[in-house]
Amino acid sequence: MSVLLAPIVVLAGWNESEGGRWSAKVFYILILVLETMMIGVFAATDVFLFYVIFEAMLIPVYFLIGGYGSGERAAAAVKFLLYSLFGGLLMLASIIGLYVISGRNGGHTFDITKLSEMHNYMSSTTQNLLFLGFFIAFAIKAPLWPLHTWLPDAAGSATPGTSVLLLGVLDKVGTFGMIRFCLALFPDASKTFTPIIMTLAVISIIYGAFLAIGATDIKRLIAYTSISHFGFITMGIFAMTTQGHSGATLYMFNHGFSTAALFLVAGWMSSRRGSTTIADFGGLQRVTPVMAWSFFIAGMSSLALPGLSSFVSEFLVLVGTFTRYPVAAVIATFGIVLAALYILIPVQKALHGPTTPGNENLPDLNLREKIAIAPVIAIIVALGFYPSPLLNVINPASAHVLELQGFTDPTPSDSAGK
Amino acid sequence: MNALTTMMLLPILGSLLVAVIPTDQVLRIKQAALGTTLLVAISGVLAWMRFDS
Repeated sequence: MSVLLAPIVVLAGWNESEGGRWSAKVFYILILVLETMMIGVFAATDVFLFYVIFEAMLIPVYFLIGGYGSGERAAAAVKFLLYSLFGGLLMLASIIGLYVISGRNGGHTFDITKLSEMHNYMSSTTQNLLFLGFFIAFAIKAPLWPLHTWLPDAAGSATPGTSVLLLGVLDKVGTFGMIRFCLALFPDASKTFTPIIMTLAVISIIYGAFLAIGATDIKRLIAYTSISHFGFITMGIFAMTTQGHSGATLYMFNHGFSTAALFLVAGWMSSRRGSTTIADFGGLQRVTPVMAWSFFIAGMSSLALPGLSSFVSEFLVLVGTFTRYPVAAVIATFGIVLAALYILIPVQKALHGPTTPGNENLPDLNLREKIAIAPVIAIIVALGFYPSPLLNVINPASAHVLELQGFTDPTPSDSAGK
Repeated sequence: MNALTTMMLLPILGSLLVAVIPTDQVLRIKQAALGTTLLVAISGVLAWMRFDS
């Protein structure tokens, strides 16, 4: 996903570097350096290397938001940096703790495979504390309620391309880290904290949805919807079932593309109109049909309409969660109802109805923009009908991860609980 | 060199290429960035196709 989104972002945001604090050269160097780190952070098999890249990624993102964004970009960049650094600091403390424990039990190492055996040598208190160091860092990154407040500011101030990378890829480092580190290194602590994490995930789903319903700014609305979606992903991960796990992993991929489509189209809409306020749009379906249809399909994917990619992952997460945590799954299902509201209201306001004064002569997508959005829409539709190519890779990996950590799917029971 | 290393090195090489292009040649800079990201994307798709789960 990281490598697929990067050329789309470069092509879609062809003129994003204009009006920035620095030249186009600096902008593209930052994007390329960020791409290296995006690949490195997911490929790291050494916990210290992961940490270094995790922190180093903040630098290009900070400059991309602060140097090329709009509005209160400097404040948003600083807020993003402070939140992330605080999380990173907690993770560093946990990494040092792990390193010390590994030294006492077979030799100092940062190797994730070897560290995944260290939980056998830790007291439950130690394991819980080290787990929290990692989890809080990832919950800030993901972001999970109540650590989400940096996201709307950062995504609202960044250029659409930067927002795509921020929400589409960088935030996935948080949910990826939960699987790669929290579950793998601290399986017992993961079980201990699961009720709390499930509660936070459900609150994120509902709270993010309500924030999105009340949003008047289109970029902030997309950021709020993501808080809700990250709640679903976290819920799937900590449901500790193969379906939930596979659904969460697939959700990471699907959310990347649906959010990318939403942010790119919202960026084009706002650059043409000179406003990000939803009320300023209206009747775009008649004036800019291609742009309106692109926004519509991306929106439908975001609300998990059957036939589009997010539906498959959301369904798997809910089914996987229901088998172990039925109450959480039922409450989370209301998030789907709320999703219909937070997507259909802006779709109705921006695309349908009479054309708002000032929108009559807005140009539709040009060839470059159509080429950029076409693969994203194609992936959203294709994976909605045929998710097997990804699930065939994800399913065995999810089963293997859960098996390694000693998690088993709950045994099916009849209505009497037998 | 394995696929992951190639994928990590390509953007760094691309950023070096962008760095040596004169600042006023904005179109060349954009083309170099786009070309690099496309190469990385192709490498990524190839790596995924070869991935044995």
